[in-house]
Amino acid sequence: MKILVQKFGGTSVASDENRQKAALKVVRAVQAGWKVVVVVSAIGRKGAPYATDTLIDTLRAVDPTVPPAARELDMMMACGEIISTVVFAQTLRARGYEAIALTGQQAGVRTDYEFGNARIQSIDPSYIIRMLDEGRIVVVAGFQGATEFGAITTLGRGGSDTTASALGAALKPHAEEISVEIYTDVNGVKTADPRHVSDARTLPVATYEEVAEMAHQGAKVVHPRAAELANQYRIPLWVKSTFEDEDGTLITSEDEVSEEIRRRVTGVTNTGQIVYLTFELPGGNEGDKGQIELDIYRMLQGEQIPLYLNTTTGPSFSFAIAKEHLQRVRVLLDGLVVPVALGQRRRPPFGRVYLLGLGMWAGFKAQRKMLEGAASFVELHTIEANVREGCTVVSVIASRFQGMPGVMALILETLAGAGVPVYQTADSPNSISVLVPESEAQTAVRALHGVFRLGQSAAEVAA
Amino acid sequence: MGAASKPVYFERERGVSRVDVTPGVAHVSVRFADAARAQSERLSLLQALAAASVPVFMVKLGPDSLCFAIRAEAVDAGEAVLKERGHDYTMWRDLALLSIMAGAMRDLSGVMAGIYEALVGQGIPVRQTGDAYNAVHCLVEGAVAERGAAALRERFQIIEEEAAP
Repeated sequence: MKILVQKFGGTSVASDENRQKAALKVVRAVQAGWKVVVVVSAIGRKGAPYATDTLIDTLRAVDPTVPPAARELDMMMACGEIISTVVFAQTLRARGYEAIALTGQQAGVRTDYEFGNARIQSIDPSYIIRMLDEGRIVVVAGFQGATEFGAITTLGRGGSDTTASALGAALKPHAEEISVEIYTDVNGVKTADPRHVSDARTLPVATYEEVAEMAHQGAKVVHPRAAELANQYRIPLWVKSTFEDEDGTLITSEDEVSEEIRRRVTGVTNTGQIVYLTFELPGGNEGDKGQIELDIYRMLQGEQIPLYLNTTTGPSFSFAIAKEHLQRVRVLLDGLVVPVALGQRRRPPFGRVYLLGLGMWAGFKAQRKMLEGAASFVELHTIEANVREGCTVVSVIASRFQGMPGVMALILETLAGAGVPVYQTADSPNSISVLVPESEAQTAVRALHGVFRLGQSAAEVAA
Repeated sequence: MGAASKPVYFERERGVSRVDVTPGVAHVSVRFADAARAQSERLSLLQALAAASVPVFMVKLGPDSLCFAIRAEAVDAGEAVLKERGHDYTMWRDLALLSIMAGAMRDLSGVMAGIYEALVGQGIPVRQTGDAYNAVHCLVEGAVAERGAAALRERFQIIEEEAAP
């Protein structure tokens, strides 16, 4: 049999009108001879009565001073998808189709014990297959599973996309043909955010790597976990619109696309609000940089603050954090004392001590006062970080750009021509990113989208 | 259909899954005498390198400088461009790229701390870093790259059979 997994996100199931449109996609697939497994997210976004955030707020409102237990929080969050599943199954039934709603656990999704960010360990698809054999449409709650002893877990970011890909992987051995469709409010993977770039184009085909890189660089497409699973199990993954009938984007492996796609500029993305921190050591102390970086990274690790755009050059090093983490980072690092090579000498100075400042000054001043008292015993150095707020990262996604000399030069030339200052660059095998003022983000995205002619198809560019 | 179905095990362990070593990388630091003209000088140099078909990566901008890496096969061509243009530069050859691979890197925290714990613990300085959706790259001296990779594998508890590229 042919099995199709269709995943509908929060917007696609937010209202009866939207659910009817989503249900129509299911019905058409059934009429085309597919056995259909539907994966749904919770109904609506923040503020909607059964949205995940609303459910969390309900639990926290019991007593804001007592944080909910992770296990119970997951149980609460999972309710949103369960409600959505039942409502969607009923929507299909009302159209005359036999449908059954399953929780993640009933669908056989077993996870580890990391509540809030669980990893799928296995899926036993037996019950789903039995239901499909009986001619039912199976509607599965996305974003959730259960541990071996039945505790409900949620899968963290991109959880419903991951559920869809994972079900595709689990069902593949039982199907003559398998496909996974991720439905959203745009008709595929775009060359740029269409809200900001009027000629942004839908890519007919993209590789798993391109999509993962785009997601990493801020595009809201398929979550990398879902792309990774689809890649690993070689499952065709489609991104389509619930509200339109266009083909969408096929996400597939690199060895199934043309050489032209393997070596192309794919799109331009824009990450959200960024703060860029630069630390510069006093001259001659470069050798201590590694220890200082280590202490800073350890502090940030303790608070689970991700960092990126790491740069280390000569006596300085820099990294970016999301703006939402700035206050926490200031609290953590302002006044941080990093001792280096203490006790390696028998006479003063016994070592070097670095004191970090991040503009809060309370911790910094208090520490400095104390350390000044020890100045005859250690070398005291202060490092006042340059905190550049109001930044964003604009990235050009380019498969194997390292084999295409000139892409970096063209990006910098284009941005200079558009009057966009570039504070820093970063590159990986599949992307080049520039740190620019947030106020210039749209200008930068439009300029780069234009210079790489991303609004035109390959045929149009060739012509 | 109808046959008893076996569970399928899939989602990978989160976090670092592999450490690769790419030898034969050079790192270049170019200083511009006039900081006010650094932007145009940088651009001009990158264009010249592109015209000579020299791919560069790990490109970093300084107030009066430009740093980048070149793979072994393009080092001589790259140096020829620098010499021809009369740049003040320093080139470190025989470096290696350590690539620390992990899925969905942006959702992870603590990877940089782990990398620095391993490398600082071995006294290995990191010359440059870069990150992607699935990796953090560190440029280190080629002579210590394998030792660095071993320390990283130990730090991230990667068993030997998984460690091979």
